[in-house]
Amino acid sequence: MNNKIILLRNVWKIFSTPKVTALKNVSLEISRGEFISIIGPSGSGKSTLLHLIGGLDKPSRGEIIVDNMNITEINDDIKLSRYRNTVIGFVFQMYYLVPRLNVLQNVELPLIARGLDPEMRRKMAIEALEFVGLGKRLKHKPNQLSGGEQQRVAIARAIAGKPKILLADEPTGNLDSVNARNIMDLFRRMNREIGLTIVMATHNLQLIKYCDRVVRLMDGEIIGIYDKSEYEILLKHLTLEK
Amino acid sequence: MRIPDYFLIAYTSFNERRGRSIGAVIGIVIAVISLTLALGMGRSFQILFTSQFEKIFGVNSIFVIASNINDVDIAYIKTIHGVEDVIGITYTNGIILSGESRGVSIMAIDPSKLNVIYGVDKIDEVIEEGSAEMKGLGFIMGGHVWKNFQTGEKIHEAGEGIVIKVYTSSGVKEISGIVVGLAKARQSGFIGVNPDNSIIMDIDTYFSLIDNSRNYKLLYVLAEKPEYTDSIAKSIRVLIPRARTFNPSFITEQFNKFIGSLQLYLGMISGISMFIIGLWIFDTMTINVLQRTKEIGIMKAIGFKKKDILLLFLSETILTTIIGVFIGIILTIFLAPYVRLGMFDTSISPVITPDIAFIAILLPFISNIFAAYIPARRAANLDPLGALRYE
Repeated sequence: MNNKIILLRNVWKIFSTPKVTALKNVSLEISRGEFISIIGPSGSGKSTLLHLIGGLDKPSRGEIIVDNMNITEINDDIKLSRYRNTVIGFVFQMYYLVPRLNVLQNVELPLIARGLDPEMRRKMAIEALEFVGLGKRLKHKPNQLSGGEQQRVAIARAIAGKPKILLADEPTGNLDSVNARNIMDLFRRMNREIGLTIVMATHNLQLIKYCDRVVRLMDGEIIGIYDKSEYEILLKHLTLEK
Repeated sequence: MRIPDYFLIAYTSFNERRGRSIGAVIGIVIAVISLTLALGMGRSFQILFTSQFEKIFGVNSIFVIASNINDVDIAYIKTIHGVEDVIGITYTNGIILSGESRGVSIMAIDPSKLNVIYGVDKIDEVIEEGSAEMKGLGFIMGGHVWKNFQTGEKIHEAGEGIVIKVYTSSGVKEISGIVVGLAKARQSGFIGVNPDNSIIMDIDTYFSLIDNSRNYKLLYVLAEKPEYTDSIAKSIRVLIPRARTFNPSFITEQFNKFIGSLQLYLGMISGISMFIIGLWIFDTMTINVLQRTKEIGIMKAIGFKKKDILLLFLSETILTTIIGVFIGIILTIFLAPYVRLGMFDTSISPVITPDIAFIAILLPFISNIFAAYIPARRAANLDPLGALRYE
């Protein structure tokens, strides 16, 4: 099995109206079980990169190979949906829970899309909710939960179907520091205990310490890839830049 | 996705938008009730008319009207395939001179066939008083002749001797005879001559005393089966070109076609309510899609297919329609006996037959699914990123 779970080769993303080049010739390799952080200022292309890996958008040029699948060649809605459902788990800054559904139903959603029977999906959803520490809040509606809890429900929804990759777009952007730390602890547990590959976009530099590598984006280009030994220098450099 | 899951998610949405959902359900209920009652009333009218018509004329009968029909013609007609019997009848006008003078028809028929005209097995069944033995100068008085039509008072009796002035082609004759029996009113029509307003006599007596031409004015032809009547009527018109035929089953068939068109018209008027509900569903679903754009985005991001999104929205419409149609049909069954329309000295209520129920169930489904399809398809085709970013 190829150890590289994500391969980006010369990926470009150009939006037509207005004409904006969001990604310029991006090439990147991510190994299985890696916890990668993508940092950069707003508009640097972090979210676009996640959307392309997640199959929510298509690159203008280049190819993206995920789990040995060239997803740039998938044009069929059924195959693309199955890819999003089985390979990818998404966590967004705004949680995006369905307000009328309770916690359990929200987490069951991707399993419903997969066509699993109610007993199986309930078991998997409860397992995911217990993992994020919300095993006793099954019947609560999203508006009865705090922001941190809602994000944990969103994480449970993302991992309930046991995806291979978790894509997190500013997952702590709406949380206070305590909740942000809790979410990051959870990500680290998922990465270490389940072996989940995590790609997280953030502009919060305090979070990079949880990651194995940091990819720095600027104006759609990768301007640096750093491992843990380089974090201290990177942080000093970024602080000075500010 | 499993089919029950579509309805599970649809139910949560139905419940969340309770106000609009209940509004839509009420609309569907009204539409179903109005459509079912309109079609049911049309069907009831059709059943009543057909039964009355068949009772009056008989479905397997053909009336042949022509002057100068003779025994040879009858013999020819009897050879036509499907003819069971041919009864020759003739009639003229007359006046009863005994007692209260009044105009009547003089109807002449083979006494052994009189029961056929009255639609009974034995003629005795329709004799109110006296007997049916009208041999020679024995007459039977029709149900409206022996009593005063307006007061109902009996003015003639069985066994009474009467004198009748009879108008024939060769002049006026007076004949005397005895009323052997008083017949009950037939209360049904007959072509050419009405037995209820007649003095009925033996046709042999008529031909020997009143008109010795032995020509019949009316033939009552009985077919073996109602479906033969059309072809028999055609054959008779070929055999006797001067004859006019009156075929009740053909009339019934034409009437049923007319009622079918009337029902369609009534259904279309009721269908306006279906159209309005369709607009309501379209509007509700369009708003629904707009309000849930982000939800559609997240659903697509976590693996729901276009088809799933389309069917999810259609399931909401189907669920709303199922509830509306179910309540509508139950209420219609409950209300139908209380909806009455006076007709033919009776009153009719809508008849809810399986085909009407089927139409009343099917039509809302078709119109609502059609109305919901466009917004549902729009939802299904939403770009997931665009939907997630929608404000």
